[in-house]
Amino acid sequence: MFTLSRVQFFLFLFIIQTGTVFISFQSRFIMASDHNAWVIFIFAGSLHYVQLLLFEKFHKRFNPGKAVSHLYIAYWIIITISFLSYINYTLSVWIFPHTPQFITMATIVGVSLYANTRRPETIINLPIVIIPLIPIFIVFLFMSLPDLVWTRLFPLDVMEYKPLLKGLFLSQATFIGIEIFLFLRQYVKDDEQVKGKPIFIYQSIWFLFFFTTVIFVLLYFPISGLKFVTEPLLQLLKYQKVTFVERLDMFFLYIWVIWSAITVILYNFMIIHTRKIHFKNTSNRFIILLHLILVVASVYLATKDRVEIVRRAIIYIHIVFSILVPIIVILMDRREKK
Amino acid sequence: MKKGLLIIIMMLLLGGCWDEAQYKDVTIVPVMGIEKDGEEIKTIFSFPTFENGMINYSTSEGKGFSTWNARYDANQRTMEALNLAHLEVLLVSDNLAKKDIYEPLDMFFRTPKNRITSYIAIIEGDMEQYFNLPEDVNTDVADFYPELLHTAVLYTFVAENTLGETAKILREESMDLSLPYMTLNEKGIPTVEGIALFSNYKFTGKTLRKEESIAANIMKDNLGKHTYLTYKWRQKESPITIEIISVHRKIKITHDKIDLNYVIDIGVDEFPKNGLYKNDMRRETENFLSDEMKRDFNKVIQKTQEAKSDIFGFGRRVHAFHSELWERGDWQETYATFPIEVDVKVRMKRTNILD
Amino acid sequence: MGIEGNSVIDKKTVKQLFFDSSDLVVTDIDWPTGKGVLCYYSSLADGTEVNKQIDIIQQRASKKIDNWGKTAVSDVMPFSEADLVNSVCDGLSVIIFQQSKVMVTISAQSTIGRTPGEPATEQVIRGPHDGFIERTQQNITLIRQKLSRNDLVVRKFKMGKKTTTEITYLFIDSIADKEVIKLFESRLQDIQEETIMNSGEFEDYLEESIFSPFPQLLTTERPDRVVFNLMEGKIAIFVNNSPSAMIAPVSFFSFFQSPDDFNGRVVVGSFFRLLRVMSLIMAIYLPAFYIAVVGFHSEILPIELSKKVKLAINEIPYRPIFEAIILEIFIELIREASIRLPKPIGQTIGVVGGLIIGDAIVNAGLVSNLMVIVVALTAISSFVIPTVEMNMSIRILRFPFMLAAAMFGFFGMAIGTLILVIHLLTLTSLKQPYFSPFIPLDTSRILHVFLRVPYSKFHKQQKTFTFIGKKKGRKS
Repeated sequence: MFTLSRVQFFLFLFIIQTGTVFISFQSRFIMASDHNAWVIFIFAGSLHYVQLLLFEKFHKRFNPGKAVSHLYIAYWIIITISFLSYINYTLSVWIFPHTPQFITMATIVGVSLYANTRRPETIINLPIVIIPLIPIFIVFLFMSLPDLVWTRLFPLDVMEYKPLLKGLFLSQATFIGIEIFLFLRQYVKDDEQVKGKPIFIYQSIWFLFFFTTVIFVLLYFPISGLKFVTEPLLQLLKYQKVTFVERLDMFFLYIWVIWSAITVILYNFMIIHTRKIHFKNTSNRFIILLHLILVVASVYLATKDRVEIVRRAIIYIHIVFSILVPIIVILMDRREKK
Repeated sequence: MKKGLLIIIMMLLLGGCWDEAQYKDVTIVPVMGIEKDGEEIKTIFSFPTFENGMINYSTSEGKGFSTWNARYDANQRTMEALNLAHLEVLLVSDNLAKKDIYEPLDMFFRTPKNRITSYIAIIEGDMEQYFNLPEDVNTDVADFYPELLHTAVLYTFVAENTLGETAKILREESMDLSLPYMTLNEKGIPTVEGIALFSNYKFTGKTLRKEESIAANIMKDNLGKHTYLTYKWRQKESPITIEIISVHRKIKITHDKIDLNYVIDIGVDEFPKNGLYKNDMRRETENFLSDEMKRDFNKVIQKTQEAKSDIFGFGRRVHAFHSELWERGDWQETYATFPIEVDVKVRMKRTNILD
Repeated sequence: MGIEGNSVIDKKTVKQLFFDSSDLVVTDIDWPTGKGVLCYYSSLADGTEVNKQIDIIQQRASKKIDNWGKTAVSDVMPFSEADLVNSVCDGLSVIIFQQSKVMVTISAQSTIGRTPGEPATEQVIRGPHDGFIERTQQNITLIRQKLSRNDLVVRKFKMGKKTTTEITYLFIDSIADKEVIKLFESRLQDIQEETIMNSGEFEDYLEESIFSPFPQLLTTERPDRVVFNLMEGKIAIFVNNSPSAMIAPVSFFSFFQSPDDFNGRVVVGSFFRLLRVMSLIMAIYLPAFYIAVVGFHSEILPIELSKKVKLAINEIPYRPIFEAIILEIFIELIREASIRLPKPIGQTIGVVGGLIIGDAIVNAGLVSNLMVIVVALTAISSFVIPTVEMNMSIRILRFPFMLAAAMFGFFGMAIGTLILVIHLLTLTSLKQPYFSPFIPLDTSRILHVFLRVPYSKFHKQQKTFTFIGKKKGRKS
């Protein structure tokens, strides 16, 4: 078994939560919520904080049984497939129009297979690869600062609640993976404090990261133009003119690929690890089978239509698994104790 | 396990490189022109060719019912495949722009390999002439236009307009596009003449001439590295050239008019009359310049209103803060008749090394 | 056969035992207690010194001092054939007394050895200029002189039964981890080999992942580096007759630290450490990057550069990957040739190879001049890494990256990087995490890797892959 320091724990969570999502969620989120996007996201951010605080408070009561663990494994497999198919689609559009899709998928999934047959500590520490990439990403992003039009923050229209709710709903994409908190919290070393300041710091980093991307996209593109933009962050960088190199978006795309690949590895780790705990099964056959399924499913799903369907569906499933199921499990646990 | 790995690697090595595009197998196109030829679209490409360690320049033409189609056509006549990943300047003819400028440009944005930070400019007349420079120019099309437009941006003749920027503003309802406008002078040399005014997706046919476009850029507070203006001081008694140091702009929008308040800091670069050591003289010059600029600015406003082209982006503020005004209807229509008052105050900050 | 059974141990039997080697000296010797046979290899023992010692011992024997045979350089032991052979082969002189079945060993070896000069592969500008030599005894002297403390433990281990391959290992008892030492000792016991001539052969027995490109033992010829590492709780290992010490367990970043890092200013030291990190990145990625750019991602070239690149590569017949491999092999050839050749000719080869052939190869149009720049830069940056094995490993590493780049462009490089990092995170050195402080992630120590922070304490070798209880790290 392993233990986590809180830095490792939060880094793990951060990569899981940002991963594949951060490149694309802005455009649909802003389209749904219009100029209100930033206000809604501040609200969503505070919800996220509340959720984290509640998770921290009740994490000891979260003891999923076999059945629930099974459900979570299924859920994570779906998430991984949705991420992979999206990565696959994006890669095939942006850089690999002619490469057979199963090859790109097999490489990414192959890396995951390789990582997941190593010791767990390897995977826990894998997010360090991202650390040097984050500042590069931020610098790239801030190059577009002079082109931001601040008047796009307005007009606010908070009278009608329907689009607000829809925006709030779509902002849930940034929450995906938050349930991992409950699963990994028990591994954090006892002498390290998580409550209070550390959670707040994590929340701030999470919030700033997503909020900055939302604000940049909102202020950079006219909303009527956002409709046609699939990956607003990539596009935003494509518009940048710098002297030392062309096409910042290409570099960013590869940063994102590494980022996403690690997210996939981490999800697979959660799947395999949870299975290990509850089923005392440590054979590699399951791991290999899982990865085969991932390749096949993600190749099958990587067309525009299917990707869209999966992306839309995933938020509903997410809400079930990050809010409903934890509540039920925690309540059940309480009853049992009484 | 190891054998399997080996086989996979061998497979990759043998069949790999699906998306390889060797740089030596493509032709980089720095300058491209699109024009309307009857019902069809005609594209011209100017590109360097590399033979025996020498760079020569060549052009290629194609026709088709869309830009891609025409490019495809040209490809069939070019040695290596044309590659727009290093496009520096895109020239669009005025007759095409008058229809709908977005349509021929769509392909640039959809294919990820294309470069969209290239300059775009509108030309007057026949495209082919722009690709056959007269002898005097002594340089090639592929080098000439990028440098020309770069200089124009540096000296505030035009604002920096890239393809991407164009697409963004086209999509925006609250602002209109303005692009560099080029004509041929009497010797046949392409000249950046001013700014072409757009209303929504269409080129209005109306343009701002050189001084006006500099004024428009000052009004946008969108200065290049150097911004010079020359006026005739006291009824042609003496010329005066000023360099704009900075522009402070205040926009006040109410439901019935827009107040523009400019405070412009300048330095004097040419003034043979001299005598600026005198306080009175400086005040007088300041007042003179303020009036001149105000007149220029008003003229620019008037022209853009005639063209129904809000190139300053007042609409952005209107949209953000004045919803009742915004909802009055199409912003371009509103703008055309909306009263706009300009006030300019020039402050002479430097006289340089002469008084 | 055996001579123990024989009642007579005389010159003849001893000679037989040593196959009548001509450098074996066997003489009868008179002794106050009876007759003895003196034997030693004249090639290993110092004859005059032996005579001196024999005189001293003889006097002690005639004075009837208790334990007359035991002095600082001699010892008495019961006679046995195996001990006799071992001792003589070690260079000792042995006097055998056949009546009392004892033998006296006198250690008066003649020493042939270099003076401890600075090792050619690990030169420093500022700092001590001594280095190890082929004699373990002297090497330990060098370390003891620098580290005068009683908990510096020296242990010896003889390999096999017949040979004299001797492993000497050192550690500081109060700092080194007991479990690691236990593990190391059990590994030693497991070695089946009888003779080990080189430290490299020995390395294979100690490492966990032999096929990994990364060395898991740090080899050095510098005493100060060994001392430095001993202070961090590591084990230093000497194989006799080899001038290099091996240090285990080590982390990846130990290979990038030069002993003179701490002899420079903080700013200067940090700059050079960063430079080394940069050179590491260049050595691995630069050719791959170039191949990816001209093969896949030409659109990222800045406009001003694009025409020049195109001009350079337009008429090259080969794919960039072949171009690169031609040049890489060429450079490796020059390197290999100049090591083997005597020094003056080696330099000539460098000039001929580097300048003349390099220029000709470009003129012939086989490779582009840009590729020459890229490959040369890569070669230079790979030599910046301060340890020899690591810079070899890094040089090998760029080939898979070049292949990946030729197949998938940047994507291949990205995936390659991931695999590399996963491999590094998994790697162990004597079961200790190799990629520490990144595994387990210890943010407080990462700075120490990239910068030369003001010197305060030695860090102990990271023990586990995960944090147990209290935070490990800055404890000494």
